[in-house]
Amino acid sequence: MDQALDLSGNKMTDLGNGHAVIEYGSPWGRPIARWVPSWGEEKREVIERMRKHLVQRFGEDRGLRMAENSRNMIIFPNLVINDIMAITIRTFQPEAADRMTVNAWALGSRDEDPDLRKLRLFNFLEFLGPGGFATPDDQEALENCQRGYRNAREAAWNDISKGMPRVGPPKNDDEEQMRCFWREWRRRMSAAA
Amino acid sequence: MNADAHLARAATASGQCTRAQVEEFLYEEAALLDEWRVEDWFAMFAEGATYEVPPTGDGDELDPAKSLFYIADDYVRLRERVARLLKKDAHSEYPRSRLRHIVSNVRITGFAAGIADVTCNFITYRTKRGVVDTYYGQHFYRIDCSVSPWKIKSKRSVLDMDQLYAGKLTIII
Repeated sequence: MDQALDLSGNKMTDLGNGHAVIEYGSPWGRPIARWVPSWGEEKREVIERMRKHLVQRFGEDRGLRMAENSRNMIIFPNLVINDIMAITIRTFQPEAADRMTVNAWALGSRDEDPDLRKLRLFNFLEFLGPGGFATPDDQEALENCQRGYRNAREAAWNDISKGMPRVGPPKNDDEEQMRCFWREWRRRMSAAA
Repeated sequence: MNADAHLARAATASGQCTRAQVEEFLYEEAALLDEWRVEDWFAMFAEGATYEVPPTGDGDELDPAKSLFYIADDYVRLRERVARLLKKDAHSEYPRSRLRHIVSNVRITGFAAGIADVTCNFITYRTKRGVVDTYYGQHFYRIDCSVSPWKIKSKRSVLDMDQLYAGKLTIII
């Protein structure tokens, strides 16, 4: 492997106008081309083949980065694209102070091999979706935050300061991507006022 | 065909498995879930069993290999789901919600080689922090009646709501 290639991929990129993306190496399997033992040996070969294909098509740096790294992207103000254990696209529509409609889609490729589609859908459900092992817990946390905001008159702030003192480029878990969002929010809302 | 004739035929078809027995089995399952005895609930499943909740609005014909379900657990993941429901870091269910499972309209729709195909209607209420979530629809079971105690070989819960209004499915319905 190319020594210069950094697959730790632990970073945040400010895309401007409130958009941002974090990128990081992740332990989970990625149906695009990252095999993990829990998928079984029989899936290993086809995943390896896809990995080689990515490297062939996009070069080693970009190909392996596509295979290995996970990405969470916010497109301001209400579109999120998560390229994690599967690719999920989410939109957020606030309908009232205490109600938000979230739509989520799973992205797959056209003419996908049936076995790989099965694997991709199975992998998606492990963590994602209303019945997954992670999404509903995130949602619970957000709902509880929303309950807390009812105290806004007494405590009119939301602490997303993690990583602010860091010197140098922000890491993926520094919450800088959230500050990108809120800076843009403030800019637009102040302009409107 | 009138209802009585249908019942008679179902009873004949069911051989050694009667509706009363199936109802008792399903009521026991509901009680275990109401009491959050999820490990005992998992023990009702045969090795290799599946548990599935297809997306709303698409009936009972979907294949989890082709469509994105809410839940499509094989036996291993179902065991993980159960283990998770008992953990404090399953934040959506800790503190635990209160549940009430209502089961009715139980029918044995087929019986062959000791395996009963069973359908029933269900309503499951979930309450937490003053919010009531209602899930309703039809369960489809394959139950192995040739072993003692009986074992569930598959359970598919088809929701009748046109949307997942609760926005989440963190319990066993």
